[in-house]
Amino acid sequence: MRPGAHAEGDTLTHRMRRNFLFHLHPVQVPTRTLRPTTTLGLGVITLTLFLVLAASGVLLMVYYVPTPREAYSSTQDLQYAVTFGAFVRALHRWAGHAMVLTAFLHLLRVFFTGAYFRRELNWTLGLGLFLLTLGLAFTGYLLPWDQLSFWAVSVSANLLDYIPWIGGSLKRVLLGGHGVSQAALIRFYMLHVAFLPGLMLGLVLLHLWRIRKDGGLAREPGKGPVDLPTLPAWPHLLLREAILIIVVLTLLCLVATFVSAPLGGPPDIHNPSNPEKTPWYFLWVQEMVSYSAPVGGFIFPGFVLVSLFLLPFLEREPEGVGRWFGMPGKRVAVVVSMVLALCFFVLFEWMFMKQGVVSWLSARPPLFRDLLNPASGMLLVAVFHFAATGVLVRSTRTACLVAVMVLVVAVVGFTVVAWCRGPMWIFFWPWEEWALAG
Amino acid sequence: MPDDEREREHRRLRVCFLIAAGALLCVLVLVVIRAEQAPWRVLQKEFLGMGLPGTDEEMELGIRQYYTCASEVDRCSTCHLGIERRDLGDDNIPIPFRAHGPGLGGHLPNRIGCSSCHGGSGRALDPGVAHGLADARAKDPLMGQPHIQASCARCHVPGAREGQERLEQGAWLYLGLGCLLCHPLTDGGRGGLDFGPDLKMIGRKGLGYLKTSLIEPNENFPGSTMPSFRLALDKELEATENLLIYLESLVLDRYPACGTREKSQGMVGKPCATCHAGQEGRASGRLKHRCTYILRGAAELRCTNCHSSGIPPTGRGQGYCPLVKQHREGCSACHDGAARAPM
Amino acid sequence: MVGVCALSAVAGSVRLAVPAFEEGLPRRFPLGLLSDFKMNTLTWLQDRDLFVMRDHDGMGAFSCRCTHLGCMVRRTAEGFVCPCHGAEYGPLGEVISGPARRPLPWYRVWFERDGRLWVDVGKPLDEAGPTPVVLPQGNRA
Repeated sequence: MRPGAHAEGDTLTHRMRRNFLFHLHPVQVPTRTLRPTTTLGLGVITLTLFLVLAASGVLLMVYYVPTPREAYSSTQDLQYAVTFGAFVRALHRWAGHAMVLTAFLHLLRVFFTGAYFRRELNWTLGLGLFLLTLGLAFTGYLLPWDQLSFWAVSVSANLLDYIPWIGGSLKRVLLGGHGVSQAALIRFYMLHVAFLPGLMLGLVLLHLWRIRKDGGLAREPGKGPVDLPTLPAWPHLLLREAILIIVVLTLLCLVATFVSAPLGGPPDIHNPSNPEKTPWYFLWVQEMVSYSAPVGGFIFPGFVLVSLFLLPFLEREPEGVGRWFGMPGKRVAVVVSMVLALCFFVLFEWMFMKQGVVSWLSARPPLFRDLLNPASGMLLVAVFHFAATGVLVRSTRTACLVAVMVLVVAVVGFTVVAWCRGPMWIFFWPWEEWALAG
Repeated sequence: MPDDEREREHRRLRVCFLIAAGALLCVLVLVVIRAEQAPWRVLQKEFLGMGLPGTDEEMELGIRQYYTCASEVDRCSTCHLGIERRDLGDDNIPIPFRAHGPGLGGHLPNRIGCSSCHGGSGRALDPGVAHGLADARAKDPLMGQPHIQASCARCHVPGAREGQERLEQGAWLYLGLGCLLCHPLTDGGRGGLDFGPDLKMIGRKGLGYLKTSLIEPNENFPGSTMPSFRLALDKELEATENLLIYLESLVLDRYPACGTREKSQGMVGKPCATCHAGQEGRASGRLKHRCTYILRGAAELRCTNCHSSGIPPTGRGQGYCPLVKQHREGCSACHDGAARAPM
Repeated sequence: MVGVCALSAVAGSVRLAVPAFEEGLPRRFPLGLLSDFKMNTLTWLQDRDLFVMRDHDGMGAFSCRCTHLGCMVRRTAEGFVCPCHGAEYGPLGEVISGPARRPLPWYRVWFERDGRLWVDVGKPLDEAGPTPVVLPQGNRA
């Protein structure tokens, strides 16, 4: 019996379905592909969210008008007057946030299972997709044109100034001028509905094609499909994916119908909100920039990006590919480094908030503040971990695992700290009330 | 995996798929049900259910909009179905279906809408947002008297018509307390810069901020040169509120397209009022120069208008002129050496 | 050859995206009359994002946007502070502490024949502080 041949007969729809789906999937898949813990299904979830975003985005485009005069009122119309408008808007917003999160988790999963091994092109495509996701989330954030989004995008765009040489020009081209204005809104709209989704679609197709070409989910070399137990993709893999997609859709619709997408007041271009914060996925950058602009805006993110890009070119250990954290011994190292990173993070943050340290640093030239702050500190900790682990254990894979774990702790930590900050960028514990400053 | 196990697995997966699909269907049905339960739909059904005479089902259902002369959209009558119906003015008609109270006069809702007077958010159909309660900073709710009188200034000069008495009192207080010396009204009668910031902008910070600025300006802005008006306003709750109503009106946009018959700004916008407010804004034959730090009706400068906690020894007997930030007497109270005060 | 065509198409597209004209406010605009700016005062023009200073040294205008991430600074007794990340500036906009690295930029001001004070925000000056300005009547401010 041919795979996927339906018991009821070989109708046209069945043949079409079979052809399309079975070009995306191999005929037989190893059983480990079917286990949830292998990949946590994150790639499928991210793709589903993208499709939801595309569909809901098209619906929103029926009513949204991208000019400063009408952007806010058309968003209000969608939220209050259009039938199912609030639902579709919420669907779009929560799917967008969720997609940034799941894309990040997917990247972490691929990294921690070493699945980039000998897949330099696909890894690069994946990085590109992640950056596109961030770009789409960011350009979409401005479109409601309310007080929160206007100032969030203003602040985030100013972060570009800290990229040397090209930063200022990049910001000018992105905004179409010197501040967030009509030109910026139209450009962001064009990027958000046309250019970036087009690129994303192209890269997604290439990404899926590469997965097939590279032989499915990563596993240790030397253990080919001949050696592993396999099952036919239909129904075992395809039905599992279908169930996952439906579960994601159900949860998303449930959240969207009960939790509305927020819509603040109309923007006051002379009165910034206090505090002015970027969207949550850039909070870590804003926090680091508040310590030191060159380190936070350029050196740290640049370092992360470049090292992620170079990873499959530099790290080529074949052992443990496809398994979480590789060999058992390495898991201990990862846990230890996570705990150490957390301790260092808390220590640096606590020291940097003390008044004595603040005054000592402000009395000295800016270079001191650039070198001695939590962002530089965590960068040094990551490099130190990498070197120490590499020398002690003699395994580049472990060294990379450990270094990236430190960086992940730093990024998550900075996000949490920035989340808690209130007016005047003062740190408040989550249970403390913000002292409203005028 | 042996064949019969595969079959069982296949069956299990199909069952899971059907359950998941069923759950999705339920959630989508839930979405539709919740949309049907939107507050405005519920209210409209209730209104029709009351079966009041003269209710036309085709007219009433759906989203009802006014396009106002200020080019804004007002959807208030979607829920407030009886606003223009005089026959629904009885007290036993429940709010929100009751007709508008007396005093609408020429303010037809289908011409000026509702939010131009009452504030709130005209496009919204969610009660919290529409009534301006959800985001107090953006559009403060001016739901009723007396603060609604601030909205009159959008089209009318304060005091030009009936029904604006408290706004008018606030405007005279503004002149009488000398606010004009530092906060002039050179920008179309609404704001402008001098020693003090433009009240058209500052007023957006809300009534609480403005009240603190009047009573204790240093709390809002340490090192401020603005004097405290505690002694003038402390026990006078009504006067304070009148002044706040006037200050609120400075923040609101004006609607020139809605057109009123008043031609001039009155005394409120003119720099002459800086010195002549003490004579109720009217110039007398011989101009009598007087410092404006006086209360209505009083003739001399009261030091205690500025010095709320006692008079410092250097300040006795001389008027304080914010033009040069010094105590001066005589002509130089207003006339700086080289320049001449506007006549 | 196809590659060269493609490359030039991309270059042309990028050039299109670079803004050739400014939306919104022009770089030079009037601020007001001399009498709008009293002696020994600092006037905050909120809708222009500028402070105008006038004292016995002359007149000057500087930006009220913090050089760190663009928030509006606030006046304090010692100078200015930025509410976003706590950057502190002195009374002439020089950096005292905080994440800001550049001082508040000052701009050239002058009086036109219409009697109004004009500013050019396209060119930040090298030196901070008010400078002597020639009044329309010919004497100095």
